Amino acid sequence: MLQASDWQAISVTLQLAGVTTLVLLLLATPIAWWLAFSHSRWRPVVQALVAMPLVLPPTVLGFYLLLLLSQSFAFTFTGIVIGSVVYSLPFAVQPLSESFRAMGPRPLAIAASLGAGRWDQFKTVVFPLCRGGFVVAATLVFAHTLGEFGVILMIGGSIPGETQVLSVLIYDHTEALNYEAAHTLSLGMIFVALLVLSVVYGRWSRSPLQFGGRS
Amino acid sequence: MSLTVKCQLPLRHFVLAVDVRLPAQGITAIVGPSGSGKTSLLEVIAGIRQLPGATIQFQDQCWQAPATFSPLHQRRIGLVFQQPSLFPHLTVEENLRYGWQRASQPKTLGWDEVIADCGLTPMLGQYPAQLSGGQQQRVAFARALLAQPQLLILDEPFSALDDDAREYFVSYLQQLAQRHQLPMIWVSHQLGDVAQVSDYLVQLHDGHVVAHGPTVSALQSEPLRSKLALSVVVAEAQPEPAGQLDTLRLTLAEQSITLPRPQSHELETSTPVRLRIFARDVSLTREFVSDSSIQNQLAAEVVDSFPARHPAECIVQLRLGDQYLLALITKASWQRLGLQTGSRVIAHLKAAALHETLRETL
Repeated sequence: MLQASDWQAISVTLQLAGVTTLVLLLLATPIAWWLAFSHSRWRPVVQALVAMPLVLPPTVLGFYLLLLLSQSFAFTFTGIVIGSVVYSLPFAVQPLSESFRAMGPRPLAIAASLGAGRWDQFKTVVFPLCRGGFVVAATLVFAHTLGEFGVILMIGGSIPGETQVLSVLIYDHTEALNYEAAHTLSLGMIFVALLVLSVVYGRWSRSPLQFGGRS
Repeated sequence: MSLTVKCQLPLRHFVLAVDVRLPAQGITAIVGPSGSGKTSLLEVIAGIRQLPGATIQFQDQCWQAPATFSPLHQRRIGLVFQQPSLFPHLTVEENLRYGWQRASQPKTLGWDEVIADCGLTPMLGQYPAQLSGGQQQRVAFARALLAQPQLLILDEPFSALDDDAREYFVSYLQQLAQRHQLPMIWVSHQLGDVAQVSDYLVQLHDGHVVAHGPTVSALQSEPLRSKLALSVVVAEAQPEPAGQLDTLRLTLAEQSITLPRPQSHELETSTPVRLRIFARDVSLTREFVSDSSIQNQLAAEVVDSFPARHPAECIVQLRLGDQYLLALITKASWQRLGLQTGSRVIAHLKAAALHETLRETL
């Protein structure tokens, strides 16, 4: 039913979503930490910057990223990874920052007083207490990247095996009046999105592990 | 052996401005109304709040100076807050092991000893959410001890315990301070406990230290003397004539008093003990009286008097040798007895009010 080119697009899409998720977890954690605990007057500005991709049209982001990357990563896999990272940043930062804020600074002080250094505190206290936040952030980023279209089209184009992801391929199939292929891929994406979001909301509604309270 | 604290911290309603040198041994109590900056001060000392310009020096270790800052995990401070702050994802035993595993050898506070002293054996396998507030506070306290701290910082650590358990832990604190030479800074609203057990008192008000000094003398000066109306005196246990098992004879300023023998204590002869005496448990006469239920009558001299909380009452400060005692009487009695500075009086102590508060001292 699926052509070789369809499988290729699925593979590129999954790789893109996977790499973006990993990069964003590393990048968003310190930003979310700063947003959760900083008293700086720049905090609202940084918060607004992080949330920009939520309100801007993907073409605006794609346009400026294209100008920025035109000499280097435009129309490459790396280019669309950079685009996806920027585009999904708020989806990683917000749940992480919420879970850090819910934990509060007290557990860290206690862990430090018991002799745990920074990395030790993160590994043995922050990560277990904020696991829900990390899971939600990772799933949202992964799912959001699967559904990305505008930014990728602007900076990646549609190069099979390199930058042609599922959403772009569906667009190409539709342009070519190849409705049957577009249907198959679209239904598949609807199913995956439904599955992923159900998992996320299932986690979200479960009461988070409260520090010092009842779990 | 001292703890020097210098800091300026703007808080919501005032600036916490502290410049004080405290003893780095025994129990130092910080008292003051809620919202006077006590918890913030503890956070600055611990380094939870990193204040630019603050100086914190503990014994020969510089914890903070303009150019240095040693993070909390290197300071070996045991922190116990009113909120027990146990790690919810770990069992009681895992919570206790958290600090124990990371503590440097050799360990002076033993695992079995601390767990038994804090009564935690039955709950080791449970999660914090399964425990009552009082049980959680006991775990938090034991967890801090097992990390082998060199300074214990306590912020209302026993607020959720019932009276008996609190009494027990207050005695335990004193033992720790003495036997293990573990210095403590203790914030509590239970002024009676704090006043009696502490060696040093600091009073904070709106972010400023309004009074500090050795507890016994701080209680005799303003503002604490009119506020607490409480004296702490040191007496010595005397050998008891054979057969007298239920009473205890003490010498206080070369005079003798007799108290019901506390059942919880084994006292060696000549051990100094500390007595907490509320001004309301002391009454005055001009002469010794023989037909009173109160046996403990001490000759003393009036040195001062000042207003009490009730406008009809006053507090009289008495001198017994080199120690001081406060008595709460009505102004009418003051007039009727014709008292003035220098008057010789007899202070009557109600023994039943005293023996439960008797504690060994250093």
